[in-house]
Amino acid sequence: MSEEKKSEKSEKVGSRLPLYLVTPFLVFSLCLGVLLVVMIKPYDKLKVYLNVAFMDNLKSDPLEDNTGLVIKNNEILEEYSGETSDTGEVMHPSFGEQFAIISSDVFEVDVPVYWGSEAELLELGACQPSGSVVVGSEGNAVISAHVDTFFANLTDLQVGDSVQIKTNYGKFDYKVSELIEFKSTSNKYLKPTDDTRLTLYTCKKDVLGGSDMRVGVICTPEKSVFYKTQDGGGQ
Amino acid sequence: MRKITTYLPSIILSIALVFCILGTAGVLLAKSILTSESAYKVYSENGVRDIISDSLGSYYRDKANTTGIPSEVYTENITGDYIDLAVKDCIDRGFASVSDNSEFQFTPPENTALETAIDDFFSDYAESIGYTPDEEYEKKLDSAKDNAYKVIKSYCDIYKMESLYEHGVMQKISSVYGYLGIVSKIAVSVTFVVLVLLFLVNFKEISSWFYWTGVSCLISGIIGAVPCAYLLKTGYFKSFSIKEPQVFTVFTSAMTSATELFEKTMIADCAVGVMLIILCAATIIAGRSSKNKK
Repeated sequence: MSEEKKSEKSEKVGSRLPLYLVTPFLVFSLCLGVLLVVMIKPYDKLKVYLNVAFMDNLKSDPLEDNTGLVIKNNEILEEYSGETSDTGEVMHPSFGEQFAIISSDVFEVDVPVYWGSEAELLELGACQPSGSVVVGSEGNAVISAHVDTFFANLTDLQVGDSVQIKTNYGKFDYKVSELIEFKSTSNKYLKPTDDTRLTLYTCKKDVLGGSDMRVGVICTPEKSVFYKTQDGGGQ
Repeated sequence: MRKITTYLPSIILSIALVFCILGTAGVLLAKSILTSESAYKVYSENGVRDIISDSLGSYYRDKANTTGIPSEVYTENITGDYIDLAVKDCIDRGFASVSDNSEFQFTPPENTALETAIDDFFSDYAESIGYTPDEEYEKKLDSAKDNAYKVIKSYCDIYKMESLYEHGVMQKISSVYGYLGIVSKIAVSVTFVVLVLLFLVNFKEISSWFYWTGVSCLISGIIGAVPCAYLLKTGYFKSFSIKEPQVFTVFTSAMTSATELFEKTMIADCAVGVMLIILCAATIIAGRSSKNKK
């Protein structure tokens, strides 16, 4: 082969080099284009299912320790010597926070009350579901606990008995006005009301196994005392 | 690469090869993971038995407060082996339902030890409070046993097969599941045919065949591996809505391992692509140097 032909050949290969380099990008772009066109409709359909199955705000592993319920136990004021008023602001607790103590002559112990309703919280005390109004607000404040632990004596309450709830924002006295019994599937006594009341309930003790019935009391407010400060009266 | 008559068909065949490789990899992956054996493997390799056992324990401890039945009555008799058996049975029935498009029916295997423990607890309790067994007693006893099986069923149906069946998802899967074997064979054959066509188009220049096949492998590898890497890096599967520990674990583990497997396959595909491109370059250089020697 003459020198001329040799250099002609190498020039040809050299001239093809940009084509060799550009072609993968061209194929890649064309593939992405085809993929976009082909996938646009199925993705639109799939997106709905994906958004239901994978919710970005639920990016947590149920088995990891740092997720789930955060329980907060608070010291509730027993005595308050500061300024008080008949009306005031309630403090909205966070989910899993202990915010009150219920006491009554028939209860053997003062019952801590947690905000929220979870099996884990029911092991620690009584629970107030976040759907009802906070104790001290206008409306129906609903509190429940297990019959074999904290509300074992709930059915001993009679009409006219006193119930007291202490919180860090006030002290609330109630009188039992009605004894109630309802099916576990009924929300007759648990739904919001126009009047201010306290509803306490638990499972009805049955001879064997679980009961479908719930028993409890409805209490009407007798006296509400709101604390002006939350430091025990500024001692 | 020399003429437009070979360049254009090569580009078209190369694009076709990219999708053939992706499709074949996807179908083969689906075929390998959609089996009762691999579903059970995910269960056994991720400690799901212990998760179910713990969940059942905490469920019955909580229920003890309302039913009055101590959790030990259940937890001591729902053993690990029994959970294995129930889960395996549920998975097998689910896949049987998918393969022959039949109704999905799952009832946990009989647990005589559990039934006896419930019987014993009821009779002991009735005796301790001086209660003479009557019709109500029998009703409660039967209901306690039925509930126990219902709870076991809900905890051992880790792939939510009953729910998938009720919502018609299993029936939809069933309509394509039977064709998975044929589809995988077709996908492999089509890929082979495209490779042969690419070879025929570049028959005169073997280095070009290496080049086009390499480009297809590299691009299909990138298209397949990048989304997988994104899903794994961002922990996308952790946002799975069902947070029941056993369901969450099997679903996310299955999805993660499938994505990892696909990603590895695609990385290998990329590597093959790079090797073929290097081979192409080497062939060209070798050809040039041999011609130069002549």
